[in-house]
Amino acid sequence: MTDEQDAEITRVLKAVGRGDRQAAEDLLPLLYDELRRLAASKLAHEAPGQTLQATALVHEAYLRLVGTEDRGWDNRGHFFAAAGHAMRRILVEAARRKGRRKRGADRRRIDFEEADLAIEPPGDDILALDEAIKRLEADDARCGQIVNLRYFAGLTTEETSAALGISVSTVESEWRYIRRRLYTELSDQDADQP
Amino acid sequence: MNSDHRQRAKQLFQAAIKLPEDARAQFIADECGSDDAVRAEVQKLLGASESVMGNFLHTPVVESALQHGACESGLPRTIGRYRVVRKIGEGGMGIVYEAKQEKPRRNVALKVIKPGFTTSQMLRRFELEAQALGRLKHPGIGQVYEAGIHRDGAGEVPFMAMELVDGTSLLEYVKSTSPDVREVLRLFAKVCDAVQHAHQKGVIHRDLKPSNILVVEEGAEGPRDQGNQGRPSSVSSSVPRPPGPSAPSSVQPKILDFGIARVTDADTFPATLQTRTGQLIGTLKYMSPEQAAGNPNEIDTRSDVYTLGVILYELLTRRMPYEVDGKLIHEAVRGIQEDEAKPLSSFSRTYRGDLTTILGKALAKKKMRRYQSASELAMDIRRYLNHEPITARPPSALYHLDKFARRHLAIVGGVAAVFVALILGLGLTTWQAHEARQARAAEEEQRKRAERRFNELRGLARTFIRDFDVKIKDLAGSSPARELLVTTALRYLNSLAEDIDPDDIRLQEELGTAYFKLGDILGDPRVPNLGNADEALTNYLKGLRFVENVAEVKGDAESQKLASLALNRIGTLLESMGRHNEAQAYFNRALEDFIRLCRQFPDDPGIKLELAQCHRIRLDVCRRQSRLEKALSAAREAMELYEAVVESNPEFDLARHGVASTSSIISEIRDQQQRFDDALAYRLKSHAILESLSRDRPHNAVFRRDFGAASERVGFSYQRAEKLDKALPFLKNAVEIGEALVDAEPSHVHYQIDLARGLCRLGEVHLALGDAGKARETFDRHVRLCADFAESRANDGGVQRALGVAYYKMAELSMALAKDEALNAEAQIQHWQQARFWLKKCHAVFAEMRNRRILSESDAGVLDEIAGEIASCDAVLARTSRGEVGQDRR
Repeated sequence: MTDEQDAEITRVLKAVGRGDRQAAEDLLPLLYDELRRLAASKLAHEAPGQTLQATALVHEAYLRLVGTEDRGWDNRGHFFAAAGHAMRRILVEAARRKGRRKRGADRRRIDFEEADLAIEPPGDDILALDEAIKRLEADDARCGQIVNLRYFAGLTTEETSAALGISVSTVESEWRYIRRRLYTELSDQDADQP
Repeated sequence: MNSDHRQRAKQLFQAAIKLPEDARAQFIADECGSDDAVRAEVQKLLGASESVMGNFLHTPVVESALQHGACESGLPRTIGRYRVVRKIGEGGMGIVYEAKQEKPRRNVALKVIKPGFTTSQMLRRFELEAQALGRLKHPGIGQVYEAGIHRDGAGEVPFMAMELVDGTSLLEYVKSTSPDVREVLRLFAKVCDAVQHAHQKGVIHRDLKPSNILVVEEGAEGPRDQGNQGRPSSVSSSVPRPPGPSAPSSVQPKILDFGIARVTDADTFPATLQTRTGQLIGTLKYMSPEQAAGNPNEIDTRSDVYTLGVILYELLTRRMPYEVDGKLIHEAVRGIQEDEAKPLSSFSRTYRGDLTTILGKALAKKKMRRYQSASELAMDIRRYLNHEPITARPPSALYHLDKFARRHLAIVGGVAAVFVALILGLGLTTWQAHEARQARAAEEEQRKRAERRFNELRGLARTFIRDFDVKIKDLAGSSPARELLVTTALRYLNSLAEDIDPDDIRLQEELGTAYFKLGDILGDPRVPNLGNADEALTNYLKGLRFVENVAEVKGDAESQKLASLALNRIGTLLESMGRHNEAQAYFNRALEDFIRLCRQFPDDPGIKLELAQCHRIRLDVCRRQSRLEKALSAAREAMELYEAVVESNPEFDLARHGVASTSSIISEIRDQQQRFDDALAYRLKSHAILESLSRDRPHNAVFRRDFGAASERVGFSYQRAEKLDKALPFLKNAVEIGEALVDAEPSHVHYQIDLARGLCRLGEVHLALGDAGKARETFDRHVRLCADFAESRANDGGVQRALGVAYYKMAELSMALAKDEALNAEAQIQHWQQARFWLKKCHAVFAEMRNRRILSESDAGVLDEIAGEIASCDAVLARTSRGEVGQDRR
């Protein structure tokens, strides 16, 4: 990482720490870039066919961008929130691309364009899940944050509680609700489709 | 149901879930009353029990089996009986953790080989070698406590627990403390002692280097008590020190990673060369000639002795005995095998005499001439320290003669080549010049005539290469003519070079230029070329020697610029051949040069264009690493430079072209970032510039080619946006231009690839528009074209990939046709069989690419994907034929 990048990240993280919403937005492209880059370099080293561990990627991105120096949970929380968001976006985009390939002119990875970054979404329902999460976020922003942190950035209950400044038991109870809510919504959708 | 209802349902759910199950129904009835929607929602939520949901959202997204036992910080919790504390370092194949052991209580360094890098053969050898390593006990060696294989659900992880050494790397230590020569030698003798101990136990290090040797200062020795202050260290402090040869010194070197090179296969280096070049170069620097040659059977304890010699050389002079950094691997290997180290005495008067002799013996290329053991080397060093006579002898006169003959083998060979040339009658003119110079008594008239012929010839070659080629090079169809011209000219120049006066800088300049010209014509990836990259590289490297020599002798701006350009050119060529690491070394050298030159000449548009080119290279590297934002900023810097040149020198076509091509690159990046509208805008900009450029310069093949490519890109953008009608005219235009260029110059591979790309897109659009007839026609042409040009280019990844894609498109067409339900079963089967046929061909192409190691990383999954499709073809065929059998019976 260059000094220039490092300085940029420090600046953004500080601003994020001050509660600057714009700064959290600024963090996203940096992270997005970093995650993609990490994923690409991972792919180069992993044996073919191995999927990427999104969580490991996020943690590695954290170490690379922020370093081991402890900048407090406040910053880390913001960082992981942004990372969860970025990871979600990457997966959704990957799923969309995959979908496009399946429809359309049946275009797949074998194409004149070199293949896109092969972060594979966990299943075909990531798009539906994303939609369901959007509805959840609209009802309850905090629940949306919890999904991003727990599911997309891979934080534990304890880390999530520290990141959001709420108690562990609240995270647990919210998470219990979130899983069921999303699950029932997705299964309702399945039921609706013939 | 609105948001309020949802919130209400959530609250009720969270309250109800805490109640015993039999009390929930009553609770819901009480709370919901007549609100059926909320009641239904709460019941649904309660109904989704753990057993129903299973693993839904249970593990974070895209977990894989690899991440077993990972705790929140991404570290494994335990490996064997060690508790992992933190990551200390990470290399290409392994990770080093600091870990805690309970009995005995101590912190250890835990080396783990990354998953994916282990093979069963490697694991077997690991277990064997581990035992040998455990036997090494010496204060100068980082003790291996245990080595084993940690098995858990996810597989086998080989690990090694070793002494945690808190020290400075040997070279750092010497640099920072600047000890005098005698102290360095005393320290180094201890290193030799440790190596000797290992050799006696039958372990060769194979990967000695200053970073593997840590220096622990007295008192600081022992494992670091990370996070556990006050606990006494338990290991090395109890080990007795060996009696020092002279005054006891307060520092102890400790060698790490004994035998690990063997365990990890790092010493069979040519086998792994292609995959792990970057890592190896670091190790290569210290390798003995036999190791560099890649024959593991030749490696013995004396290989470590050689490496010790290299390390001592570096400690004393801060230089390597020969340059390895920044060289191509084969050059570096050749250097290690052939280049004699610059004598130690040339660095300092103090090294004259015995020290130079000692180093000369340690660094002998032949094992027999070296010290036969590390202890012999240590003994000579200690004799030197004690002012006793050393055992090594300065090389005899005969030895020198032997070395001379070896060094001048090339010259001897060159003389032989001249004779051959003479016999064949090719070098008649040269002969006359040669003879005239050799025979001092020859007549003055004859000498003059020979000199005159020589100069005429030289002038002719110069005219050919410099002037004539510039005039014809952009004409379509000119490549064979250019090649003939330049090879002819080069043949003369080569024969002149045999006889060259080393001070004749002009001739060297011409030779350098000529070799580069020929390289350009053969394979300069930036312009139309003959597609022979290997030959191009050979010529570039020949040229580089001359160009660099000229730059060094003249030292002026112009020749320096030429030398830097040469580096970039070689880098670009290597890059286009997929040899990224080698390319990078050249790029870095060039970039540094140009930054310097640009400061010197801020108003020179030519240098601006070159700097823009450097940014373009940086841009490519960033893109390859998926650093898209960085790539964009490099692109904008290049764009700015190009636009500045267009502003000041509108007649510079190259700058206008630069704007167009940079726009095109930005559009590709925007595509990757999913900013498709922006991408299209840049494509249209590029298209417009190229359209006007090719209108202004109708005979310029480069502009026409790029115009065609730009049309294809715009067509592609529209195609992706599913605006097929808009895509069609652009793609047709692209194919039309492509056909014309290929027609004019059938041997030019880039035109063919362009055309293939256009045909591929056009066929896809026809197919998507439901015009199977036109699609087939287009894909047919596509396959024929690709098969044609791929035949003779088995090692060109881009070309082979295009062929694979062409086969795949045929398969796609067949599959689309097979799905036509109006067809009878027989016709469907025929289409499926055809699809299978083309898929097989496609698979064969990609499989061959993998074998030749030219399959790009992003294509790694393609083989599986095609195999899957072949399998589904088989499945359909099996189903359909079963169905047919059934019909027959009826």
